Amino acid sequence: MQSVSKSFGNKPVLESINLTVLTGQSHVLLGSSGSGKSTLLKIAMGLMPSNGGTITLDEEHLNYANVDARTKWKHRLGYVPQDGGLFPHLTAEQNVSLVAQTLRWPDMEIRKRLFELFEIFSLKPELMARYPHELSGGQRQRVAVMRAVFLDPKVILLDEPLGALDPIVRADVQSKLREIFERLQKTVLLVTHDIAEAVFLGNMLTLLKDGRVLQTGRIAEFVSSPRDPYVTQFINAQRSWEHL
Amino acid sequence: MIHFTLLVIVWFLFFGSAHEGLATERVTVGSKSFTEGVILGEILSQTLEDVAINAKIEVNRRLGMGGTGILYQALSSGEVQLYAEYTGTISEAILKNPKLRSHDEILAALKPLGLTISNSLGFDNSYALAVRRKFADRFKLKKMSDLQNLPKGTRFGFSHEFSIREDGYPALKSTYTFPIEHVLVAMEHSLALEAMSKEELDVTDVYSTDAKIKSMDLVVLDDDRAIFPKYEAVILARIEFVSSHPILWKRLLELENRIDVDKMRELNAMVDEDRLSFVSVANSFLNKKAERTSRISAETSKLARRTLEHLQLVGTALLFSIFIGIPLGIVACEKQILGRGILLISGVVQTIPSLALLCFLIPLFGIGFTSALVALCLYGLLPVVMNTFTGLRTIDPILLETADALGLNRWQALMRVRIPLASRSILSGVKTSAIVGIGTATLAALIGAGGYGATILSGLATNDLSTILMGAAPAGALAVAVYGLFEFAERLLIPKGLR
Repeated sequence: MQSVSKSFGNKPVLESINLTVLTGQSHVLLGSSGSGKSTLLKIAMGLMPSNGGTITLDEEHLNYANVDARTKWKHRLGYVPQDGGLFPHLTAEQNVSLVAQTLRWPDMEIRKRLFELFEIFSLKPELMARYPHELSGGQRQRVAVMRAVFLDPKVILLDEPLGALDPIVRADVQSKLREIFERLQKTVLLVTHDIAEAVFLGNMLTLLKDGRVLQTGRIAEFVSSPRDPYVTQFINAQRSWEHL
Repeated sequence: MIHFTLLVIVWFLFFGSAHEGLATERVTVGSKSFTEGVILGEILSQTLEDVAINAKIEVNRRLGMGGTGILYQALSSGEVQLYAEYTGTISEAILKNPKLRSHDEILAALKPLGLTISNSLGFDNSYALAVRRKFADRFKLKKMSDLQNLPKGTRFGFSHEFSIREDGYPALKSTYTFPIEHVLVAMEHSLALEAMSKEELDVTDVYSTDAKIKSMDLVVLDDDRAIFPKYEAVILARIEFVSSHPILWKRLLELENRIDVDKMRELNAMVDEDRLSFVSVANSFLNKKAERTSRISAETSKLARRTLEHLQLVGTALLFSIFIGIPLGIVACEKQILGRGILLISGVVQTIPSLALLCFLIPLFGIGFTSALVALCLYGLLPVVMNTFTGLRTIDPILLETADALGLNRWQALMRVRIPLASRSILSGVKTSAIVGIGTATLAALIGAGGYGATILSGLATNDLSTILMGAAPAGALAVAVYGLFEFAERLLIPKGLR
C-alpha cells in the first residue's frame, strides 16, 4: 500500500499510509477504535474507494473504478468481517460454497474443495449441514474463515474476527486460527485492538493512531525501541494479572 | 422461479379467457343497485332477449351497479347501452339543471350528449307523504292540502335526506299549511316506517313505489300543489344504440305506460317481501311461464360463478402486486429520491376511496372486470412495496458488506442474499395484499365486475340479511383459506435458517 488516504467528508481517517505485507506473513493492524484500521482493511479489500494512493497485489494495482476488475480483485482476496458475517438463511456448507456456485464451479470441484477444507479446519461434514444459529460461536468463526479461503485467495483479510467471542472460546479459536494459518501458508492481514491476540496470531505488527502509521515491526522492536511514546502506552495498556 | 412462471401461465390459461366473451354483437343493460332498479333492468333485459336471439345479439346484464355517477360514465363510454332512470335524476345528476322538468326539455338537453329517453314507463317514483289508512279515514286525508285538517300534536317524522333537500321538507313547509309542533327529522327511512307501523308516528315521507306502502296499507297523499319534482321512470339509452338497433328499441318502447305505480309497488314487494328472485319477478311481469325461484336459490346457483369471478379478481391482482410490487420495493430501496416517490404514490393511492378510484378508472378501462382489476392492483401494491422496502432496508449491513466482499455482483447479491433475507417481510406483505384484496374485491360489484360483492349488493339493496351473508360468508371463508395457504407457503418459501 502506498500513500493511501481516505476522508469521510472533511474528516481525514487515513493519511498517506504506506504498508508492505510480505507473502506468507501474518501481519496485524493494531490500534484503538477510530484509528482507521478497519477502514484501511476495507479499502484494501475493494469495499470502498480511497481518496488517493495505490494498492498493489503481486504487481497488480487495485482499479476500484472498474467493476469487473474489482470483482476479480475480491476473488483473489478472502475477507472475514466482524462476527464472521455468515448468511443466516444458508447452511454452513452453502455459505462456504456460495461464491463458487455463482462462478459456476462444477459440483464435483466444489465437493472436492469442501473435503480439503474440512480436513484443514477440522470441521465435521455433518456440522456443515447446520444453519449458523445452530453452530457455536467458535464454529461460526471457523466456517467464516473457511468461506474466505474457498477460492484459494492469495491473502486473507480479517476485521476483528473474534471480537464477539467470550474469553475462553476466544482463546480456543485463536489457537485453532493460528494452526489454520500455518497449514494454509497464506498471507494474512488481521485487524484487532487486542495486543495479546496480535502477538499470538501475527509475526509482524503495525500500530495505527489517528489515521497514521506509528510503527511497523516485531513485538520485540515495539518494546525495545518504540518510535513514539504512544507505542509503549498502547502495549502497556494491556494489564497482566501478575501486576494486581 | 420456473414454478412461478408456470403458475402464471396456468393462471391465464385457466382464467384469462373467461372475460373475453364471444365475438357476437352485444347489448349491455345496466341498472342501479336498489330493488326497483334491478327489477327494471331485468325487465328491459328479458324484453330485449326476446328479439335479440333472432338478431344474433347477445344481451349482457350489468345489473346492480353503484349509482348514477358510475352508470352515466358507463353509458357515455358505451360500455352500457341503456338503463332505467328517473327524469328528476336525469335533470339533477346528469344534466345538472334541476329546472328542466318536462319530458321534451330533458330530451332536448340529452341530445348533445348522444343520449335519448323513452316516454314514461307509467309511474312516477318521487317523494310522497304517507299516513296509515285508519288515520287517513279519521281526518279525511286524500291530498296534501288536507294536512291543514290535522290537529295539533300530530307526529311528523322525515328521513334525513328529505328534511334537507330543497324540494323536500323546506318546500313542503312553505307551500302547505299544517301543524308543525312535533317534527322528528333525520330518521333512517326504515326506522320511520317501523315507527309508523307501531303508531308512534303519523306522517312520514316515502318513495311512491315503496313496497311497504302496500304491505303496511299506507295511504299516499296526492301532491296537489306539485311541489315534489317528477321522477318519471324512463329508459335512458344511447342514440347510437337506438339508431343502429331500431327493432330492439321499438320493442323496448312497448314497455311505455305498462307499469303503473301500483304495479311497481307490487313488483318491489315480490322481491322485498316475498323474497322472489329478480328473474322470476320480471318473468311474471312479462307473463312468461317459468318456474318461480326464490332470491336465495337464485344466489346459491350463482355461488360457483361468483367464487370464480372473485378468485379471478383477487388472484390476478395479487400476481400483479407480486410482479410489480416487489421490483418497485427493490427500486425504492436502491434509489433515494425515486424510492420516496414510489412509496408516496403507493401510499396516496391507498387513501383514495374505492368508489372514487373506480369512477376515475371507468373512462380509461370501461366498466366491469378491467377497471375493477386495475383498482385492486393499485390497492394491493402498497403492502407489497412497503414490506419489500422495509425487509431489504432492515438487513444487517455487515451481511451486505460480506456479500460485496465475496465478489457477488448486484444481481447475485439481490437474488442470493437480499431477497432471501427479506423473504419473511415480503411474504407477509403479499399475504396482507391478498387478504385486503379479498375484502376490497367485493366493491368490484359496484361497477359490474361480479364476485361475492354482487351477492352482497343484492342483499343490501333488498335489505335482506341472508343474501348479504351469502356473499359475505364465502368472502370471509376465502380470506381464512388464503391465510392458511400463506402459512403453508411460508414453510416452503422462507429459508429454514430464518424460521
